[in-house]
Amino acid sequence: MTELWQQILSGLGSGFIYASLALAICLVFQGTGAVNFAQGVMATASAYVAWTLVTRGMPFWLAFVLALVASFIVGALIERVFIRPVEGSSPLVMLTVTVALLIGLQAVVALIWGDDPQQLESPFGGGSVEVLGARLTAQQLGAAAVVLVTLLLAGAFFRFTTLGLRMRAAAQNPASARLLSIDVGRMLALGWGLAATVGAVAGVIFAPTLGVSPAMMDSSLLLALAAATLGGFESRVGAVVGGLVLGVAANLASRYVPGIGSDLQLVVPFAVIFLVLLLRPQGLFGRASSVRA
Amino acid sequence: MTLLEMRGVRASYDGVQALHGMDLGVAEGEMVALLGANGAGKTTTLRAISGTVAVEGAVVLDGRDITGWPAHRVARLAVGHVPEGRGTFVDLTVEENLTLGVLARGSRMRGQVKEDLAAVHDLFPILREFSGRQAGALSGGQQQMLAIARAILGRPRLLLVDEPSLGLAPMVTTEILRSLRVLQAEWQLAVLLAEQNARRALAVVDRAYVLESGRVVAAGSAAELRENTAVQDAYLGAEQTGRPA
Ligand SMILES: Nc1ncnc2c1ncn2[C@@H]1O[C@H](COP(=O)(O)OP(=O)(O)O)[C@@H](O)[C@H]1O
Ligand SMILES: [Mg+2]
Repeated sequence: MTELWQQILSGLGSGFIYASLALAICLVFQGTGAVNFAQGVMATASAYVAWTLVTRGMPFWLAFVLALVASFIVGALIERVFIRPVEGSSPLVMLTVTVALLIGLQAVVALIWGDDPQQLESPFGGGSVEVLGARLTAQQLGAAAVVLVTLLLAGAFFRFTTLGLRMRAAAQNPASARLLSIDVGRMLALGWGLAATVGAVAGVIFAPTLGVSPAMMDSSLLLALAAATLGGFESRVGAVVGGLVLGVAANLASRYVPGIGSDLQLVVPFAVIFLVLLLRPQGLFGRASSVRA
Repeated sequence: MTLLEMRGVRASYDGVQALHGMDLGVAEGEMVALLGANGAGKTTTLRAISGTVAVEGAVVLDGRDITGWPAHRVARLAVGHVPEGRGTFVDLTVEENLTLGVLARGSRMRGQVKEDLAAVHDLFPILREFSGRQAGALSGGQQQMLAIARAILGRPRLLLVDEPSLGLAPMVTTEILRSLRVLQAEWQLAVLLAEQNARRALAVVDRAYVLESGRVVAAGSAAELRENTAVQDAYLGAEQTGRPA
């Protein structure tokens, strides 16, 4: 029983990585209709920025904040430069662009920082805490808390601020939004910037666990795509819930299903994507009408 | 005082020309109709003004040449547009839809928001009652009221309204056209109303232009056009109720 509880909690811990990447993917999709396959490598670049600053002697939290700011700017710039010219194009064009971004950014990351994995020390120390009978490291707990706060802030931003409302309006009905003097292009760039920032939070705060390397986010991206599929690409809440569910599911599967070791964990997102597309293509939280072609 | 003037405006979609040199004017505080059959160019004319279709020629608002301006900048000059299809933000609540209208006024008349919201709610009580509902759940007529309310809350000086009667029952159409007339008088608006249903439109507007194939073919006061036999034969022959939804 305690063992199961332990597995659930640590699955939930990694679930926060998938939840934030899934939220980022969902923000981009809602705005520009692109499934951003580069969302993972963008978070990787953020982790490298933080790592570079920390190795130069900067305190972790300052490096964290600077990495977020840089990620926001780069995310918005990517929208301006690479997405704007193909705005409103077919899903196939969008797919090609974000896959090209993925390959391009991976090359840039390897070029700047090399292929050797690096270590970033945990800002939460090496201790561990007992939570309702299960033992969690301070890093696990702290990282989850930081991501949770980020997700809540993002939710509050969209729900309660007028800028959040304008961004939702621009994503949902751009033609009508323009008639209400909303600069839709600016809102989309903002959306990409925010998405990059949310992804960066996960990338930097989980870097001590994942290790800093060009491939650090690869499997998380797959799980995040599965999470967004599960929750529905149109639903921010759905993406987050999907991420947490997948974290737990992947962890339990690797522990209890014979034949699925941690190497085969990725069978889980594959199975989820397949089943959801088969049974409920709009996702658990999506509406049938909003499935994009 | 002329508020809007279009001179020789041409517009095309993918190389196919839809407007062939439109000339028209709207004075401040005046209510004008654009009449014409389906495909005559009414929607494109409104879109040429609000900047949602590429144009050549001259679109002049309040003495300023706004030809080629992007839509969100035209909207900031106090031009409201109730688009064809109503432009509802279906996943947002009725209240959020109206808030977007208020935000569109920018820093102009900020102190006036409470009174304006109350006035809009008095004109369309259903919007108060359904305030927390998803806008997509409203009926066609209610969404049309929402679209007008949203545009009007931006405090436009010029309101463009595209076929509000489309797909609505005659009773609802009458109610909506009447409320446009009320708004025009009470909010000091100029209204440019595109309408296929000429008889109903001529009952509420001051003047009208009749379009055919992207050109003005007749113009005059509402009374003149009601008497004009050519217009009568073409557009007033039978009671038109608009296309079905
Ligand atoms: N999005 C579009 N793409 C191509 N042609 C269009 C489009 N919208 C309108 N048209 C054409 O432009 C002409 C004018 O249309 P429109 O302005 O919609 O007329 P109305 O509003 O009077 O029915 C028509 O011939 C129509 O077929
Ligand atoms: Mg039309």
